[in-house]
Amino acid sequence: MRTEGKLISFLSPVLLLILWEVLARMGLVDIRLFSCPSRIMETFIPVLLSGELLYHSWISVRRIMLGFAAGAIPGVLLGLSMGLFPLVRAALEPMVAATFPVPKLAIMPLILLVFGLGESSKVFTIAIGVFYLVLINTMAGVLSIDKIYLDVAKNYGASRWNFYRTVALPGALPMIFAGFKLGMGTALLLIVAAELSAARAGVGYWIWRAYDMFDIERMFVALIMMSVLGYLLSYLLDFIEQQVIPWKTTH
Amino acid sequence: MENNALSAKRDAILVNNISKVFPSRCGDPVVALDNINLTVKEGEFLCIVGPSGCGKSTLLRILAGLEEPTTGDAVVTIKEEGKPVNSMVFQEQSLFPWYTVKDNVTYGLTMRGVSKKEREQIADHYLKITGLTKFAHAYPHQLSGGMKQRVSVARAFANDPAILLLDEPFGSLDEQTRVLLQQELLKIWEGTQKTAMFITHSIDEALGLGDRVLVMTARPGKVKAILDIDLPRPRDLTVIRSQPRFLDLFHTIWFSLREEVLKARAEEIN
Repeated sequence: MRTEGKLISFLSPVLLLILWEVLARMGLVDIRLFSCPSRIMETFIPVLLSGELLYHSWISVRRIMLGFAAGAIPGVLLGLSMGLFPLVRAALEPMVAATFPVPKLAIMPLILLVFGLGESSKVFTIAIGVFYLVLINTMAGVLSIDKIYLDVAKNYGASRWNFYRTVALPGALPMIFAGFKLGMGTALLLIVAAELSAARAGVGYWIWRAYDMFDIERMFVALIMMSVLGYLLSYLLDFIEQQVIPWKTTH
Repeated sequence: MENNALSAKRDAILVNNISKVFPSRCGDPVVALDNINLTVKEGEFLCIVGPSGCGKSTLLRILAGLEEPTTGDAVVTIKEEGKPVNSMVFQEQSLFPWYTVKDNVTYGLTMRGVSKKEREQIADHYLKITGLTKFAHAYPHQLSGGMKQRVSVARAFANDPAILLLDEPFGSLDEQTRVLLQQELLKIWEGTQKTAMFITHSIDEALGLGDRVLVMTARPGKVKAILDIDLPRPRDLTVIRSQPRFLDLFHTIWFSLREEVLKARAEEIN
């Protein structure tokens, strides 16, 4: 059953690719719009070997990483404070609740006006998307810590600082990582939009250039790259999570 | 005879006129504890039994400093410089999931700045006598319920407090495990002679462990009776359970308690 399942999981995408190729060659799929696997590979391999694809991917990855850090770090700090201190929560929650639902893409023009056309506008766009998700998850993580652990910390003489260090932070970590993962998904979404305007490199830029040139194959190459990047980044987060939260049950 | 020895000892805990009233949003406030007075001697093992909801946990939480009494106060008179006043063994799963067994056991020591070397020694000692040495680096989710409560007990003893507070620590365990842990607790306790207050539902447990058993009334919780348990120590739980004296005491406590349980039930039905 298990080997059968693995086989089917391998065969089904392969069959889909073959079907796509066959339908394209029969003229049932419009290759001007949807291309076909063989043509995409013909474009993919040269741009991979020349380093062009990796260069643009690296530019995007760097923006994602910088934006992620710029959003996640204040998100964790503020989220912890809001979770721990009712007064901070009372002061900031209305602002968070009011601004969180605003689509991040809707404030991109404003970000461009404020940060200009350089790197910082792209990094900030990603940061703001990551920030909210990490903030909200971190706060929820602190608030969901079982009250018994507060009792134990108090009864066993934990100072205020030790309480943050030994209860609040580790207790919230699983939720913080859930926020990181959601944030990473949003970062991948935003990078393409952020590289639409005034970028000279990056996978998003590549996609929009391919659109301008009506080069469907190059566009598909970028989509494949986005998928690979998304997989690698979420794998990286999973790996870090395992190192940081060794007590989390993994079945 | 051992209770004569007990009365010669100095007082460890003085509970003076403690009452606890919980405000309730609808209707009358709930009186959980009503004027509790109690003296616990140094080195005494006091068990408290009472119907559910009689406030026995509240009394322990007040002693632990986790709850403020509405009136009255509790004083621990045998504090030692640099050592904690009390350590609690909680009823529910209370180990930090993010720490290993050893780090859980040494939590109190870490919090009061005991050196790492000393912490290791103390942890090794208590892990050994609770049979957890092999699990020192395991996380709580890898342990059975009985093992988790062993770690909780080890954590409290390792902290070396003036008094131990145990809030139905074995309440959620199956019968076999419970008897094993009672016996182990007795062994550790006999080695340290710490003043202990132990809450339980089980008359059996109270008789097996305690020097005295305090029976509480149904809510509002009052002291109904305090009985001396004149069973010899060290005790073997399987042996003392078959002794006539054990059965006598069991009946005395049961009839004292039954009245209260019925009262509590009647109130629940109304």
